[in-house]
Amino acid sequence: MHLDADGFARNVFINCPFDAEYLRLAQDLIFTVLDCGFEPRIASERADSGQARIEKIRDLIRSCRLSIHDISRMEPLQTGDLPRFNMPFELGLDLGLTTKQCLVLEKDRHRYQRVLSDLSGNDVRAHGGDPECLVLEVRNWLRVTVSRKLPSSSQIWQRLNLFRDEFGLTLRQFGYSARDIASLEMAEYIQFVKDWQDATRSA
Amino acid sequence: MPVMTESQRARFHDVLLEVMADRNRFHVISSKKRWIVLRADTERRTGTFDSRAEAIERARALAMQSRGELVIHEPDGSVARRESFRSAQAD
Repeated sequence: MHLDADGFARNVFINCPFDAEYLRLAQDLIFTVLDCGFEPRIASERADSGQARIEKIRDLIRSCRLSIHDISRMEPLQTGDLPRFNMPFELGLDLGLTTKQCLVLEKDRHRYQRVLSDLSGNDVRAHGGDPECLVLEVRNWLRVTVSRKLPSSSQIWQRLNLFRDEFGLTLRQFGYSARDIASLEMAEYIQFVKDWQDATRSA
Repeated sequence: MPVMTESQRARFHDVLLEVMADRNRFHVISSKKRWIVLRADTERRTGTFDSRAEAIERARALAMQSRGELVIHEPDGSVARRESFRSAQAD
């Protein structure tokens, strides 16, 4: 896969749940990555059914200098279901394929030690399910991966609130409800964030 | 979920710019267990308060003075409600 150096340097592989309860946090995670000047890459962006999913994930992982893995929602969605293994599986794939810088996010700082003790010694940060905390942890980790200045986590959090309002006002003019906005396809959401960022720069 | 047509997608940017052109809004935002009042057009804080009620009071006064809008957010960032003072009387 041909990849220019600049694209690789800015790419961040995002491995996180996409269930309804987490979706808002997923959007906040992606907003933070974008607002820090990075490019989020997620497995769902490559919908070509001609390629096995695992191959898509491997290609994506290799195309990114950085990775963020949120393993905070491995538990089953419903009682009696099996736990969800995709997030820790993709984390394992990433750690096995590359030696890149990798952020692991959990809900509780020590929970992973009961189920993924192999991660002990790695940088695991907890967000407690709180969006402002998630923004802080992601921004602070991204900051140590680059030499350039990044907006502060407070600035990003404030902009995220502004974005939610202005983006919502805009989409409602096209018939989107709050629920529709909360469940946007990630690729579309990413483009909307970029549109908003461009508009704030030109305002 | 509504699917945006090509022409709507082309219009999306224009509509977004219209929304952004009038950022006479004062937002009440949760931050680090306190509440801040954020002016949208400058993206600057105009105050930090211990209680949401105090922040709302301050933001409402500013919005009324400038004939703008007050936007109150939930702790997760979503919009709880808004009040417009764009006409002579509040909504």
